[in-house]
Amino acid sequence: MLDAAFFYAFALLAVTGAVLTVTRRNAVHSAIWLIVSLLGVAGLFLLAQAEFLFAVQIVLYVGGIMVLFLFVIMLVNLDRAMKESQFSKQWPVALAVAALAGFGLTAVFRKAGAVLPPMASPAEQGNTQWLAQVLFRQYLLPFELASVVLLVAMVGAVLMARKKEGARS
Amino acid sequence: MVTLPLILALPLIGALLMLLTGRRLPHAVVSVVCCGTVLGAFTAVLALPDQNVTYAAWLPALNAGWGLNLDALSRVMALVITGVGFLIHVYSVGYMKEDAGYYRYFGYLNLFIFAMLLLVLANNYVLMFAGWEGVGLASYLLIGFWFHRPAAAAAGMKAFIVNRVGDAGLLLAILAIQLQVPAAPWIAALLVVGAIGKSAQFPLHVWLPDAMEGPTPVSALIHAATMVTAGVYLIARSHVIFENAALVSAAVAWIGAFSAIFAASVALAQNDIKRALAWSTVSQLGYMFLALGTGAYWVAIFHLVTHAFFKALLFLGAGNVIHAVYGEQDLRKMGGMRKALPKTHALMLVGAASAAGVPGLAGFFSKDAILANAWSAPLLFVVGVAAALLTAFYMARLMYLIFHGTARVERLHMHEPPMVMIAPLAVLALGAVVAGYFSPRLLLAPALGSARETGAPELAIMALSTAVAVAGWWFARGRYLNQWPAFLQRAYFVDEIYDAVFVRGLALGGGRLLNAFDSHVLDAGVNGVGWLTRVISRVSIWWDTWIVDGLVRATAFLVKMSSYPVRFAQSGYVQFYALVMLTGLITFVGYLFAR
Amino acid sequence: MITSTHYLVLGAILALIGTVGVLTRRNVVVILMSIELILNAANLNLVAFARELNQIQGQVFAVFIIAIAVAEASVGLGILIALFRNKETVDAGEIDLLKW
Repeated sequence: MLDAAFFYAFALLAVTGAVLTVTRRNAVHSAIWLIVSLLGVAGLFLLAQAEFLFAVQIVLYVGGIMVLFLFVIMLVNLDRAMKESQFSKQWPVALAVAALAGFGLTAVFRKAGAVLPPMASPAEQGNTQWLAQVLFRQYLLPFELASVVLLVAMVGAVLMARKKEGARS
Repeated sequence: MVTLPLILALPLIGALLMLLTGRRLPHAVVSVVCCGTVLGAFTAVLALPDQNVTYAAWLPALNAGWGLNLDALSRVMALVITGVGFLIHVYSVGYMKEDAGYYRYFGYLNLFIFAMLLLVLANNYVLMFAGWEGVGLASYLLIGFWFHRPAAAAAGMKAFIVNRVGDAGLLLAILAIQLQVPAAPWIAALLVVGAIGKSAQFPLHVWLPDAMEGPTPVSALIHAATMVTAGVYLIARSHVIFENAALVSAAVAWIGAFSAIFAASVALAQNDIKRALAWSTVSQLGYMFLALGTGAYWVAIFHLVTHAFFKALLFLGAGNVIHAVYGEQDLRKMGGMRKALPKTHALMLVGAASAAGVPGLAGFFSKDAILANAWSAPLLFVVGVAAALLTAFYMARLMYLIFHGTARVERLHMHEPPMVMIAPLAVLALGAVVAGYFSPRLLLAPALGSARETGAPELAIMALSTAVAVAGWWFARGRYLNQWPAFLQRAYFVDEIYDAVFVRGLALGGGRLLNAFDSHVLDAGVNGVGWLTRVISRVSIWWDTWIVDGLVRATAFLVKMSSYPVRFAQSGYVQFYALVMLTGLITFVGYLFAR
Repeated sequence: MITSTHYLVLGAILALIGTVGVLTRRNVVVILMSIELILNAANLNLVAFARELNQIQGQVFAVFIIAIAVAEASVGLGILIALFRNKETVDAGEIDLLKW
C-alpha cells in the first residue's frame, strides 16, 4: 500500500515535470521542471529496486546533463526568442499525430490486458554488485564501445563549439 | 664490419634523408649530413681491400646479380668521385647558401654520388647501366635545378634526350654482352655509341655546353670531373672487347682527336665563362678517347684523374668569379679582377696552367703520355699537338679576360668569397700540381693490362709540348680581346644543323611525306567510307532525334512534372521531418497490430 | 498493487509528452530536453521489465542508454552553439538549410 502511494507520488512528479518542461516559455524554467521530472523518474527507479540507476540518474542527469543544459541556455541569448511564439506552425498536426500515437498505445495496453506480477523476491546479492558483474563480464565489449562513443562525442562537441580561427567576434 | 655496400649506402641515405625530410632540416644539418656521407664513402673506398662479391641474384636471364667489384680501376674512379665530390659538396655549402632549394640541391648531389659509385662499382653491365641511368637522372635534375628558368629546364631535357641516343646503343651492347653473344666488333661499336653520348664526344657533344645552365658546382662535379668521364670508364672497363676490335679502336681514337681539336677551337671563341670551360671539357675528354683508341687505357684514366683536379678547380674558380660579379657570366664584361680576387686568381692560374700543359704540373704529364702513345699514328699525333696549342691558347685567353687588363664594366664591392669556397680550391690546386707525379700505370696494370711500348722519343715530345704550351700562352697575351668568327662562337653551327636535319628536317620532312601519303592515298579511302557513313548517319540521326531522344525527353519530362508536388516535402525543417517519421512509424506499427 | 503495467503506462505518457515537445517547440534547447524525456521513458520501461523478469540486463541497457543520452546531449548542444554563433538564433523554424 505504501508502495502504491510512493509510486503515484513519484509518477505525478514525473508527469507534471514533463508537461511543464514542454510548455514553459522560459527555457530556464523548462530546465528546472525537467530536473523535477527526472527526480520523479529516479524515485521510480528506486521503487523498482534499481538503486544503482537511481544514483546514476541523480548524479549524472540532474548533476551533469542539466548543468550542461543550463550553461548552454545562459550562453545563447534568449531574450528575443522569449517574446516570440514558442510553438511551431505545425503544432495542431503534431498534437493530432501524438494523440493518434496515444490512442494506439492505449489500444495496445487494453489488448495486452494481463497485469504482470511484481518482482518475486529481492536478489540474493546487492543490485550494484550484480549489475557490475553482468556489465563487466557479459557486456564488457559494448561497455568499452560506449566509452569510445563518449570520447567521439566529446571531441565532436569541442570541435563544433570551438570558435573558428579568424571568425568574426 | 665495413663492407662494400656501405660505400653506396651512405650517399643513398643522405639523398633519401634530404629529399624526404630535408625541407624541415636546418642548413647546418643538411650540410653536415651530405658532406659527411660523401667523406664517409671516401674513407670507406680507401680502407676496403680489393673484392668482388655478388650479394644476391637479380636477373638470372641476363646473368646479372646484385654484385659489387672494387679493383684498382674502380678504386681510382671511386676515389675521384668521392674525393672531388666531397670538396665540391663543401664548396656548395658556401655557393648555394642563399638558395631556397638548398636541401633539394644536396639531395640531388648525394643521389648523383650514389649513382656514380654504383656505375663504377657494379660488377656486371646491367647493374652498371642502372648507375649509368641514375647519373643521367641526377644530371637532368641538377641541370634543371633552377627549373623556373626556361633555359635550364630545356637544357636538362636536351641533355637527357641526347644521352638517350647513346644509351640506346649501350643497352644493345649490354644485352649482347650479358647474353654471352660471341665478342664481336659491333658490340664494341655499340659501346662506343653509349660512351660518346655520356662523355659528350662528337657528334653527341651538343648537350654539354647547354648543361652549364645548372649551378656551377654541379658543372664542376658532374659535367667536368665525374659523370662525363663515365664513357671513358666504360671503354677502359671493356678494354678486352676493344683489344679485339682494331677498327673500332681506331674510330675511338679519331673521334677523340677530332673532338679534341674541334672543341678546343670552339672554346677559344666562347664569351661565356662556363661555356668556354664546357668546351674545354669536351676537348679534354677527346684526349682521353684518343688515349683509349691507341690502346693506352691507363693513360686515359691518368688524364681522367688529372683533368678531374684541374677542371673542377677551374669550374669552382669560375664559380667564385661569378659569385663576385653577382651572376654575370659574360667574359666581355669582366677583366681586371686580379686585385679583387687575389686568392681565386692564384688558384685558377694553377688550374689553367695545369690544363695548358705547363711543365711540372699534372696536366703536362698526362697529356704528354697521351701524345707519346699517339706517336705511332703521325696524323693523330699532329692533331693532338695542335689541340694542345689551342688548349694553352684558350686557357690563357680565359685568364687574361677575367683577371687582367682593366675592368670593362665598372663594379663595386667585388670581394673574395668566404673560406668555405676557397679551401676546396686549394685542395684541388694541390692535386692539379702533384697528381702528375703519381702515375697510375703500375697500379692499373692488373686491371687494364700494361700498355705496349710506344718507342716514342719521350724527351723530344716533352720539349715539344712545353714549347706548344708556352707558345699558346704567349699568343693569347696579345690577342685575348679578339672577336672570333661566328662559326667558332656558334660551335660550327652543329646545333643548328641538328635542328635543321633531325628536328625540323626529319620530323617535319618526314611529316610532309606522311602528309602526302595521307591526303592522296588514305584520304581517298577514308572519304569513300565517310560518304557511306554520312548516308547511314542521316538515317541514324532521324531515328535518334525522333525515337531515341523523344523517349529520353519524355521520360525526363515525366520525372520533372512528378517532382513538383514532392519537392515541397523537402521543407528543410527538422521538426517537420520528425513529424513525418513519427507518422510513418505509427502507420507501420498500427498496420502490424491491426493485421 | 503496483505492477509493471503501471510503469509501462507511465513510460508511454512521458514518451508522448516528450514527443509533443520535440514536434512543437521552437526552441532547440527545449527540443533537446524533450528528447531526454523520451529516453527516460525508455529507461523506465527497461527497469520495469528487469524487475519483472528478475534479470539485471534491463538495467544494464538503461546504463547504456544514459551513456548515449550524454553523448547525444553534448553533441546536440555543441551543434546548437555553433548554430547560434552562425545564425544568431535557436529557433528550429528558422533553420532550413536542408531545403531543396
